[in-house]
Amino acid sequence: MADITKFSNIKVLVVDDLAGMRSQLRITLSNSGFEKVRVVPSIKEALVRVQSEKYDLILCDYCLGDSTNGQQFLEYLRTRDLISRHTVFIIITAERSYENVVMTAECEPDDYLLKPFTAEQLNNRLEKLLDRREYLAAIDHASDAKNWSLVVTECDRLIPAKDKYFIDVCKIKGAALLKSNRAQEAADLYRELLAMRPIAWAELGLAKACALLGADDQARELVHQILAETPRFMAAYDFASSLHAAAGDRQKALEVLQKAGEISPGTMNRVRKISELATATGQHDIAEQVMREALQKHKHSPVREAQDYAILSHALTEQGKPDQALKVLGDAKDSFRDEASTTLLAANESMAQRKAGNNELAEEALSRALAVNCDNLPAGVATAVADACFALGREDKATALLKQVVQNNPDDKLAHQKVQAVLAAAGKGEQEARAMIEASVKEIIQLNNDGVREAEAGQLAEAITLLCDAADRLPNNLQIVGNAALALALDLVHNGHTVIKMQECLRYRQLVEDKSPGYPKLAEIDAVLKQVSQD
Amino acid sequence: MKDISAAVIHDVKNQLAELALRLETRGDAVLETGIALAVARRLTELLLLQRQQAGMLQANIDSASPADLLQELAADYRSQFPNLDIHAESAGAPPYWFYDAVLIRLALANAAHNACRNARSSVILAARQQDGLLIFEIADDGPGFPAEMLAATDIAPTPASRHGTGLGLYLAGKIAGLHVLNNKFGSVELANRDGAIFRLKLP
Repeated sequence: MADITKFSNIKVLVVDDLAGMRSQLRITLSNSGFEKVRVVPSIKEALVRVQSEKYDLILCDYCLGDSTNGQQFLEYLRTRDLISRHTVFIIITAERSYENVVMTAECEPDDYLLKPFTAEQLNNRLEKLLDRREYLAAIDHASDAKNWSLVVTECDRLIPAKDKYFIDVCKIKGAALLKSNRAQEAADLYRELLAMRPIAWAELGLAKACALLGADDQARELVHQILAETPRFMAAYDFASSLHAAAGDRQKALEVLQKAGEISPGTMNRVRKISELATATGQHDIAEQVMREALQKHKHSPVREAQDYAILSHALTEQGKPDQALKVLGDAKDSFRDEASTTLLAANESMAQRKAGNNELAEEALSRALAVNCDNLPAGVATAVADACFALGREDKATALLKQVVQNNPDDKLAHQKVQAVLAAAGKGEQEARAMIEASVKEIIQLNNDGVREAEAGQLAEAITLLCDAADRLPNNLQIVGNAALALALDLVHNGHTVIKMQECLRYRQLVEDKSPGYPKLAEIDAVLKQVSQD
Repeated sequence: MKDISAAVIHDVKNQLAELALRLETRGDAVLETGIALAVARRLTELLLLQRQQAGMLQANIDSASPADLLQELAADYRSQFPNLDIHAESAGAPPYWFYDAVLIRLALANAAHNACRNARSSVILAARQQDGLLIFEIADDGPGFPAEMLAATDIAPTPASRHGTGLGLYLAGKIAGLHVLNNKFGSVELANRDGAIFRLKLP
């Protein structure tokens, strides 16, 4: 029987659109000793709950009316890190066929529970899942901190037991190795697993490791094999598409994702990728159709983003339908009020007005887009604003924005592609665009090297001015921000401690840690800071 | 038509789910809960058959714990058949094996249900590793399988026979067969020894 004390402190969230099932699950859970149960009818309300409270357990029905399903909701939560890895997420389903749900899952829940079930079956399952959660606690916490090397270490602690969680732990370890670029170790692990059993996720892991190791042909061959054997394995399509895109074949990349779309309606992430690829290959009709359908389906759902409306509006503007584009943007305005979203929508509005021949209204929209501090805008938003600037002949502003995007995201190939696309749309040749990107990268590397050289030569004040100025301009450039923190730390050691200097140093350090907890420079900064506290 | 029938079955399963939980909270409806679950299982079998006939039944193979599966099944049937001594034995089972946990659970649940219906006093659910295979075994102390069933397991289900449609057994064979390793296929076999024995072997 249920152990009352065991469940009493577990916080549970139930998401189900059927009122009868909601109340019944509440009674069942409370009879089993769960004292902290909240039930909600929609993911909109679920989202409000998870953002204000930490849940240990989420029971979410797969089918939630006509809108976003439980699987898509989970992907939304995971992509945005809205729930901890330590939260057990269970999808309840009465789907006509179970494999329809499970094989098409790109983001796995901890378990599926098939309807109908008894209270005892539910208890039994929850007890096992909570045991497993306890077992994996250290790994979960390291995953939440995105500290992948610690995840690997924790996995290595558990692997020798070779107990019933062995394969689960290996799976987590493989993913962590890939995330920390330890591709050879990942490949070795996946090969070991595959020698035991040909499992689709291990084959995909090996393909990803091969790609990281530069063995693209091998990666492609493996992915083909997976898709031939397991044609419903959605994650394999996503990876196959990214391989084509990386090789420069965006048409192929698009076709692969379209094929995936025929098998499973998929999640917004894939819809976005499809429409982005369609836009990049000039097939604005495809972008329009795919995004329009998705937004219709996810009407009123929180999985939508301003970016989705921007994509649709752009596709319409490009096809000479600016009036429809303006209507789409009008619909979006009420839903998205944060700075990045309003800026993005304003930039697109400017483009649509320009296309409609309303130059004054276009200028007005652009001035709204330019009114914000552009340093902190995501690359996708800044490039859209640059696009609108080009359209209205503001070439200097556009170029400055694009340079900022490149320097703020020096290693982000996707951001560079966006910059290139905007330059191409503005009539710049491919070589000119590439040269501009390379020059921007070079400039920031040079600035970084100058700062480091000055610091090494003991000219700390000069180094700090240079690096901190750049770090404030480019908060996403971890090398610059990290070196700014390091220069400040050195200054604290050599020239004495001040509260303000320390605060600044820690602020930059935190920026780096938030974006990349395992960033190597952090250890260096900490080592220097240790000398400060010892003085 | 197929879509409509699937959608209707989907609805019915949702309603059965609510019914099962409602009955259970009443506390005096063990039998009725069992009926609701059995009805749902029959519907699931029907859907699986449709998919299997259309060549669309696929196994999603990953690691799973045989001991956990048996423990869950034993708990289920203990509450549905409180007069039987239902025992799970997994000492000889490996800590993990590779199979589609949902499909195998459906196959074993059907066999366990039959065993419980036919048993005099006890049912044993066991798992062990032997010759590179994982063997699930469900044994009861009832009258045993009739001779014609022992003779052939891979017979298509029939609308009416003395022993039901044979759908559960047919599907169990097909589900086992979806599990393949190095050209070795999973299989189902029936035997009699102090009662009926159902075996599901997975490579």
